[in-house]
Amino acid sequence: MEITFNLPGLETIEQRTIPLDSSVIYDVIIIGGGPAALTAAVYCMRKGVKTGLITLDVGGQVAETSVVENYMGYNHIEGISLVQRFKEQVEQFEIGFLQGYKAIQLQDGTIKKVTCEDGNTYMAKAVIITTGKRWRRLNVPGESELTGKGVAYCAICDAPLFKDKDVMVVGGGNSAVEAAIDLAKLATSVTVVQLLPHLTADKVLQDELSKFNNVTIVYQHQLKAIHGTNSVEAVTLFDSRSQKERTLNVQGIFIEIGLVPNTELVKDVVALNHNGEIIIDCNCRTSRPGIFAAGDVTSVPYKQIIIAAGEGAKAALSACEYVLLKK
Amino acid sequence: MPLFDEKVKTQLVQLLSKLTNPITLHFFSQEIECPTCQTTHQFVEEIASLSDKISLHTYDLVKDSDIAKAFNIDKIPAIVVSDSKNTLKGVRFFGIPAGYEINSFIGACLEVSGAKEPLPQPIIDRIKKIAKPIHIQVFVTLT
Ligand SMILES: Cc1cc2nc3c(=O)[nH]c(=O)nc-3n(C[C@H](O)[C@H](O)[C@H](O)COP(=O)(O)OP(=O)(O)OC[C@H]3O[C@@H](n4cnc5c(N)ncnc54)[C@H](O)[C@@H]3O)c2cc1C
Repeated sequence: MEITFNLPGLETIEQRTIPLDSSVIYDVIIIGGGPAALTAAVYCMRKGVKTGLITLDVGGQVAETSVVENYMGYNHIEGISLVQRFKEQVEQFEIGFLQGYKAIQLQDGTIKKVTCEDGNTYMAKAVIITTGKRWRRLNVPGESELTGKGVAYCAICDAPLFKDKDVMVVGGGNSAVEAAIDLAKLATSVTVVQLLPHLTADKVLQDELSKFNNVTIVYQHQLKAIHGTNSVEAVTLFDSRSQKERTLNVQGIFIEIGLVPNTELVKDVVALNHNGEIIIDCNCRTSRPGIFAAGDVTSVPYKQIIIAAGEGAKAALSACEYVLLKK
Repeated sequence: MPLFDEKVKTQLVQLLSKLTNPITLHFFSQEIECPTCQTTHQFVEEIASLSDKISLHTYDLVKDSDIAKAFNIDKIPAIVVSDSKNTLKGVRFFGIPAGYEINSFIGACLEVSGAKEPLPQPIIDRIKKIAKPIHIQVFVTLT
């Protein structure tokens, strides 16, 4: 018997990050922890500006992605491994780091003030917003109570939990149909509930979905409520043609109706577009001087890791230039 | 032949340098050791030799049945990680913590020694709100 010991974290460079300090005026504070934020952090640190980073978690959406095959340099890498690499690249710098807390308020001014859930207010000359996106919720009764108890948003993450169960997918776009395909391979039955009279997903995906015989699509129906005591047991559907309600027994519901930008923090400070995204110019500048933004939270089209990372680099260079010219 | 080659050994020494307080490993085996018991025995001995903050006690599941019972051990090979006063911290490993499991093992040693990962205050506050006893079982896979 050959025995091996895999100590992965150990070949990494020593961790140099330091706690974020509320008595310091930073040159740049980055809010977020996805590819945009982590890339911005590396660029700021290499520019030698005093940098802080506040994030709820490290990795953002990439941490929820099973495999990435379109980030250059890797033919195929697990989302979580890519996050680990990003993180290690940031940790080699003495960057002020605060993880596990949300930034809840941003005050504009020559010195920007970021109030955080940890009760402190941090200061910086420039701020980069890279708060990304989160799953859109339906906001129906039962949804928040049963989230994680049968109500799910990430099929890639949670589909295996619904093996041999009756599940429902809400939505008709690419993510909904992809979720339905993943689930159809495992679940007993998959019911796709769509508001419109047709699906809006790409044709290739629709064709793929039609190959399964355990999938039913109900058009022009709306999910009204989710029921269950300890876990999901049934749902109420509303038929918009007959105007009638009916109940369907399911043990799982995947809500796949897109993503919303995390802009609560800045919605009263910078200009947003009709999708609620932060409007930026090609230098990643928002409508307020000294406030920059990058990645999925912005108006830049095509939400991808490599784009978020590239934009993060651009925002960092822009912010560094802004700080330098202010001196 | 040692289980840890020089590279792994250096890494382990570096990791175990973060042990805060002394800890004790209680290893359970039996007189005629099963093959995994033998390897696990060697494993705990090598681990204990890498830090003077680690002491090792070896027991026989049958002969030391009282101790085994006190430590809630019913199968071997087993390793209990406790502080130096033998206070149980709820950490038991069954089988050899090789492969990726060595990370959980080292993590457990550091945790028991008091080198804790700080939990963010909002999480501590939420946990404090738990009013009734709950039983959590976590099943993990490596992939
Ligand atoms: C399931 C799935 C699969 C995907 N697959 C791919 C793929 O294969 N290839 C690809 O290129 N792209 C893929 N994407 C898209 C890609 O993940 C995103 O475009 C990218 O992660 C955006 O990066 P970001 O840094 O802008 O934001 P995010 O990744 O959304 O990160 C935002 C970060 O900000 C933090 N945050 C939010 N609000 C606050 C706050 N108020 N205070 C502090 N921190 C906050 C969050 O905790 C998070 O860490 C996928 C997305 C999903 C959901």
